[in-house]
Amino acid sequence: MTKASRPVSIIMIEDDEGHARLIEKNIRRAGLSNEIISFANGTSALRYFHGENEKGGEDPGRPCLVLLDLNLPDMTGVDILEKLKANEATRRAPVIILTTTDDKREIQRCYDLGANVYITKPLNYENFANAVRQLGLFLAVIQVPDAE
Amino acid sequence: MKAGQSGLLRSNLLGAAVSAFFLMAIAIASFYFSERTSRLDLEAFSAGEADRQMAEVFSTFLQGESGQRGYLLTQQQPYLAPYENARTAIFPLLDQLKTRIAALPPDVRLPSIDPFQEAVRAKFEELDRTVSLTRANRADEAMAIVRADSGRGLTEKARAFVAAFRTAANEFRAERIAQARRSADDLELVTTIGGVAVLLISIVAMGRIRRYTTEIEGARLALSSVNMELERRVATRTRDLVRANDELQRYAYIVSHDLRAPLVNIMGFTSELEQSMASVGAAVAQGDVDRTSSLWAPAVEAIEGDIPEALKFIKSSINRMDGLINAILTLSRLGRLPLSAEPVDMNALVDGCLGVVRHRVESLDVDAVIEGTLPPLIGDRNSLQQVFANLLDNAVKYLSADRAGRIRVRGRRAAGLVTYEVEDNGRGVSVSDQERIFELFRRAGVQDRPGEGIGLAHVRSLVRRLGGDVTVFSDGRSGTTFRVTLPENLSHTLQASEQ
Repeated sequence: MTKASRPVSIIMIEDDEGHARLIEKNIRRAGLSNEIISFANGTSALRYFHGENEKGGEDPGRPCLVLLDLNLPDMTGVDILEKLKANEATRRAPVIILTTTDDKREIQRCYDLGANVYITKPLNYENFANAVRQLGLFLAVIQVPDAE
Repeated sequence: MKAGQSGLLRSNLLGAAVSAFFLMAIAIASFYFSERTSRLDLEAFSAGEADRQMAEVFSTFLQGESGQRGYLLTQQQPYLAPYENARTAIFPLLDQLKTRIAALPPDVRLPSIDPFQEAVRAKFEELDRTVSLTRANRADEAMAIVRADSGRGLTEKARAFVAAFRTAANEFRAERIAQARRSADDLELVTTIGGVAVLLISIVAMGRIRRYTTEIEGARLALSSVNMELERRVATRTRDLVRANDELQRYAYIVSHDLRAPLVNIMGFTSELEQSMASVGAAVAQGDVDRTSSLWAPAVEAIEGDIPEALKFIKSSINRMDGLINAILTLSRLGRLPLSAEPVDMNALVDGCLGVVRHRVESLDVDAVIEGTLPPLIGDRNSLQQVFANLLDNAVKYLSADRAGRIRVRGRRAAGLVTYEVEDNGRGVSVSDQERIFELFRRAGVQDRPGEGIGLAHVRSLVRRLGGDVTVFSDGRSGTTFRVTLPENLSHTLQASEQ
C-alpha cells in the first residue's frame, strides 16, 4: 500500500454485516487506514467492478484488493473469483478468500482460479480477530498493481 | 409344501410296500407252484414207471409161461432157459413194482395188486409143478394139468388185471401231467399279474414323483425369486439408510457452519462490548463520580455488577454453544471422509484399539481380551478403528467400582453379515436410556466422567454409513454389551449407495 499515486481500496464482499464490521474493526486495529468498501452480495460487487453488462466499473482507475467470502446469498465466491480473473480490469487485483469453508477441493479450486491467499475464518472469535489483524499487517506491506 | 412332501413320502412308501408285497407274493407263489409242478411231474413219472414195470412184470410172466410151454412140448433143456429166467426175475420185479406203488400218493386209484400177486404166485406154482413133472418124465401128468385150463384162467385173470392196472396208471399219469400244466399256468398267471401290478405301481409312483418334483422345482423357483426380491429390498434399504445418513451428515455440516456465522458475531461483539465496558468501567472508577446520587448509583451498579455478570453468562453460553457446534462439525467432518473398502484383519485392528486404552486398562487392572478369532471383513479401516476405539474407550470409562473390570470382544459371521460384540461388566445402561445414549449430546447415568456425549452418536453414524447397525444390551446393573453388525463386504454397500 505504498503506492503514492492512488491509495489502495479494500473491497470486502461479505454477506454477514456483523462479520464485515468485525473484520473492518480488526483491520483498523492493525493500523490500516485504507478505504474499505463493503458489498453484501456478489451482484452489487460485480456491478461495482465491471458495471452493467461489463461495460465498465464505477471507478476503473482505482487500485484495489479484494476480500472475498465464499458463501454468498446470490452466487458463490468462486463465481465472483472467476469473473474477476476473467475481466481485464480486475484480473491483476489480489484476491484474498476469507471464509468458513475448509474443504480441500474448494481451496484447491480457488488457487487454481487465481486466488492469491486463502484464509479460513477461525472458529472462535479471538483467533478470528487475531487472524484479521495479522492479515491487516500483511496488507500493509504487500504491493498491489495499478489498475489498467 | 410340507404336507405335499410328506404325502409324497407316504404314497411312495406305500407304493414300495405294495411292490415289495407283490414281489414277495410272486416269489412265494413261484416257489410254491414250482415245488407243486415238480412234485406233480415226479408223480406222473412214477405212475409211468409203475405202468412200465407192470408191463415188464407181465412180459416176464408171459415169458415164464411160454418157456414152460416150450419145455413141455420139446422136453429139451434149452427151452427151459426163458422159464428159468422169468422164474428168477418175476418176484424181485413184483417187489420193485410194489415199492413203486407204495411210493405213489394216496389219491392214486390203482386196483389192489394183491390178487394179481396171488395169481402170479399160483401161476408159477403151476408152472413149477408141470416143469417138475416133465423133468421127472411125467409129461403126461403135466400136460393134463395144462389142459385142465386152470393155468389159462390165471393168465387171463392176470392179463385183465394188468390191462386195468395200466389204464388206471396211465389215467393217473395223464391227470398229474394236466395238473402240473395247470400249476405251471397258474404260476405264469400269478407272475404276470404280480409283474403287471409292480409295473403299474412303479408307473404311478414315478408319475407322482415327477409331479412332486415339478412342484418342488416350481416352489424352488418361487423361493429364489422371493429371495432375490428380499435381497433387492435389503439392498434398497441399505442404500436408503446410507443416503439418509449422508443427508444427515450434509445437514449437520450445513447447520453447524450456518450456526457458526452468527455465533462468531455474538462472540465478536461480546468481546467488543467487553472492551468498551472496560473503558467505561475504568472511566467510572477513576472519574469523579458521585456513586450515591440517584443518577449514578444504578449506572455504577450496572457497569460494575449487572453488565459484567450478563457478559459472563453470554460468554459461557457462547462457549457451550461453540462446543456443541464443534461436536456436530467434527461428527459431520468424520462422516465426510471418503470410505475405502479393503480387507481388514479385525483381530489386529481391535488389538490396536486395545493398545490405545492399554495404560488405563493396566492401571485399573482390567482383564480385557479378544475371545477367539474375530472374523475379518472388507471394510473401511479408519471408520472401524474409530468405532472400536470408542466402544473400548466407553467400556474402560464406565467400569463399575464394585468389581474387577472385565472386557471381552468377540465376533461371528452369518449370512453375509459379521457381528462383533464388545462386552463389559461395568455399570450398565438402564433400559430407558438405551436409545438415548446413541443421540448426540446425550449421556446416561451418573455424570462423573468427562465427555461431550458424542462418542456413541459418532459410532452409530459411522456404523450406519458402513451399511450396518449398532445395538446395546444391558440390564442396567451388571454390564453392557454393544453389538456391531456389518455387511461382510463394504464394496457392496458402496455400490448400492452409488446406484
